[in-house]
Amino acid sequence: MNTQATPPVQHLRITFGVDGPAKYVPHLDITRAWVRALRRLGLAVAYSHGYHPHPRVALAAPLPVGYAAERELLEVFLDEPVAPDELAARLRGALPGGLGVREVEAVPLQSPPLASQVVAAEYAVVIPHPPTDLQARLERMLAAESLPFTRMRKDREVRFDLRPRILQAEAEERDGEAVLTLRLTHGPEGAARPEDVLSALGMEWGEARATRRRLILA
Amino acid sequence: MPAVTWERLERILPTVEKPGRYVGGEWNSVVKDWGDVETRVALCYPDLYEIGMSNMGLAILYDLVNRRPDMLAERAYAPWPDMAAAMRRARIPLYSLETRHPLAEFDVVGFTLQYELNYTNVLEMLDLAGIPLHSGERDERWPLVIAGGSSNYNPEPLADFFDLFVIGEGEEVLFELLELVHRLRGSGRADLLRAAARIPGIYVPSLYRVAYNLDGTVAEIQPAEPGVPERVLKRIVACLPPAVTRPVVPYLELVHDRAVVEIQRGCTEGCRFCQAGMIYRPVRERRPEEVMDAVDELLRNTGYDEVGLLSLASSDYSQIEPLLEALVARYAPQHVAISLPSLRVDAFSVSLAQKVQATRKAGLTFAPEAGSERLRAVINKNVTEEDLLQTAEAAYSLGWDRIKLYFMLGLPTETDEDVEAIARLARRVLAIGRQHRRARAQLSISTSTFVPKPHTPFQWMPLADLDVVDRRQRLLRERLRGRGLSFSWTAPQATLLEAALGRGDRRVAAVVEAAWRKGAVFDAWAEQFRPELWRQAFAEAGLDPHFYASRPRDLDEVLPWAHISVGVSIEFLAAEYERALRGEPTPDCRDGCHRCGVLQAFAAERKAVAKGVWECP
Repeated sequence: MNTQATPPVQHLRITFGVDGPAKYVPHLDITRAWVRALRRLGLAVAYSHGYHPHPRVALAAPLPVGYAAERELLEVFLDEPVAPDELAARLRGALPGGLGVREVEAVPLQSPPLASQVVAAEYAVVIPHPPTDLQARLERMLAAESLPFTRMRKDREVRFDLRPRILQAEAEERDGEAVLTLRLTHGPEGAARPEDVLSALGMEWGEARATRRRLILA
Repeated sequence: MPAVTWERLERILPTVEKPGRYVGGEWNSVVKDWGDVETRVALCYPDLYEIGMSNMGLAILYDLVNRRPDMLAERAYAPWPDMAAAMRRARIPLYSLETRHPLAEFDVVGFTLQYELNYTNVLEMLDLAGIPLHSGERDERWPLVIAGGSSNYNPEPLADFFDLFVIGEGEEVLFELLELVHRLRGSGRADLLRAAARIPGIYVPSLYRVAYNLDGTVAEIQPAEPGVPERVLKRIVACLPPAVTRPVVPYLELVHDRAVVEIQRGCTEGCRFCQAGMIYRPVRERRPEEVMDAVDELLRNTGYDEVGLLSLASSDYSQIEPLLEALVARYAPQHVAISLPSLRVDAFSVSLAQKVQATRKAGLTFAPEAGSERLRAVINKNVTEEDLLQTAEAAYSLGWDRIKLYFMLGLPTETDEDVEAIARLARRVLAIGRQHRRARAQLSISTSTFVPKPHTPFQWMPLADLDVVDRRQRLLRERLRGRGLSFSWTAPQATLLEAALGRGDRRVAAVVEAAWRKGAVFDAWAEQFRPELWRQAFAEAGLDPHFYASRPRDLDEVLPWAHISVGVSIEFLAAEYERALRGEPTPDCRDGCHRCGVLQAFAAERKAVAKGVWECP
């Protein structure tokens, strides 16, 4: 095992999309798929020190299983530097089904963990058979001062006010489908999920299809 | 039937547990255009994706078939009951992961049979695919449904369902069969089966007649027509095939989630309970340089950070020490861990483990299998108490905190005294641990129930009385209470079924089918196993599982697998059986040939390779 104590030399941020098979892969497995892809390219991925060294590769925010995504974020520490543009080019065609690289940029080594910087996320939810009064429901929801909400988490009920967690919600209808654009808070102060909003609108998830458009950093 | 569209599949994926099992898209999966090839094979594993993806045999065949420009191989696994129900509701047939073609569209649908408790899943998968279950109901419009794998050496309990079985190593014979399938395209199924039966290593059950005695034992198994061999000798490859260096890298975490290089096939130790030790003879090693090159390519092609060296006995590989040194020197700086299964109980093995776990001493597992010297002589596990204590001394003194010892209960001739011996041994080992590691020393004891298997010297032995096994398990748990000790065991609830199916005859096929029709699937999974369904299924067929599992057999009884040969002679197995009862060990065959019959059976194959490839004197 490598016990050298030299710190990593480069900190990269990778923006990527999720589609097809990758939509159904849990986030820990997505992280591992990235580690393997980077190792296949011969990159010197940095490892943590200690008893169980693990690769220093982390997602900004776990994507719920079944969601597509346009601009997810991943951070990577390397022991040997690479040119970000060159890495982006090499990653094309080097990823398993449904992962697609958008861009790679270098960020300061000391910048705080991505996971701590995410404050909100933007979603698009396609609803195949929307209720006729969707706009009215949306307006009622947004007009409310508070939206007391209960979510089951493992065997525990979690109660919170959903309203302040909805930063933006709009609906647009085309070809009999509705597209709900949502901007929801994310992070330790409280996150909301598109499922919560649908349920606050009195709707079942049913055959809805969700895409996370982007993560918003502080 | 056209391929299942992604849109249709996506309607059910969000409703099932772990949908990632059913989507494909993994790195190194091979997606070919169906129009570009002539012969298409579905490779199926009758258990969950996470289990089946770890199977080396299918990985080898997937690699070999897909290297051929005129063929393709795609994969299918057993969907968990929630997915199976969703597929039936949505009328989605079982499909391959690569191109989502229904299994019925393939020329050949091949299963690997590794475990008796997967048998109902074979029927479940055929049914989900809309393929008739019985070989007799399928004409040339249906895929040829075939099987290979280690449970295949007694094919009889599934004889009704498969058109043919490939006995032995499939690397060469599969292609002889696929070429035949291609050549005889358009001719009748009966003609194809008749021609296939002439390929050495292929067993076509419908071309054999089985007669029974009044007591239910087999009277004889005879070819039903001329040109069909009386006995089917397993196939072997003279040299190990090239290592698979471009395996499918799963998205989901597997049971064994690492790159794997097969370094050795076969085992010389001759443990009498061990089916693998008999059916995979002779021993063939891969040269260390070839292993090094394979590891290099594998890591480049997969990105794994762990490599497992696969064999039945790592410590027996002749170049194991220099190989490990070279691997560690090259890959440790790249954060690649090396894992080494099946270590022999000796200090040498601890020194091997020391090489690969220099900093991260995760725990060491050894398998003495039995607690007393007497019983180890019976089963031919040639390990002395002294060996074991020295091994413990070496491991604890080199810094391991935890050792795990694996034993079997219900071995032939076992008494309470042999079980007490496990507890005494455990205390002595832990005492050694305390000397070196003080309060940090830990010892885990783990037991499972011995199931007699075909083609071993214990094939004539009864399964132990499970009430006795249960009592001994409780006895052991009593004895193994205390700080630093832990005891785990595998629940024996499905043991009787495993034993009955493993040594069943052709009539048992009706039981498997009846159990499946009543809803039995995933019998290997405790939460799915429903013994009452099997009880009913046996009763309806007028059969008794104990007849197959718990009955001692005479040495001259015609066994249901008598027409299948692994090259090891019945005389050798019988002699070993008798030595077992006398408590006489038989040394490792590297120290002298015991004339098991493999050399004569495979003389031609041996001649084809350079001297020294087979370490079988």
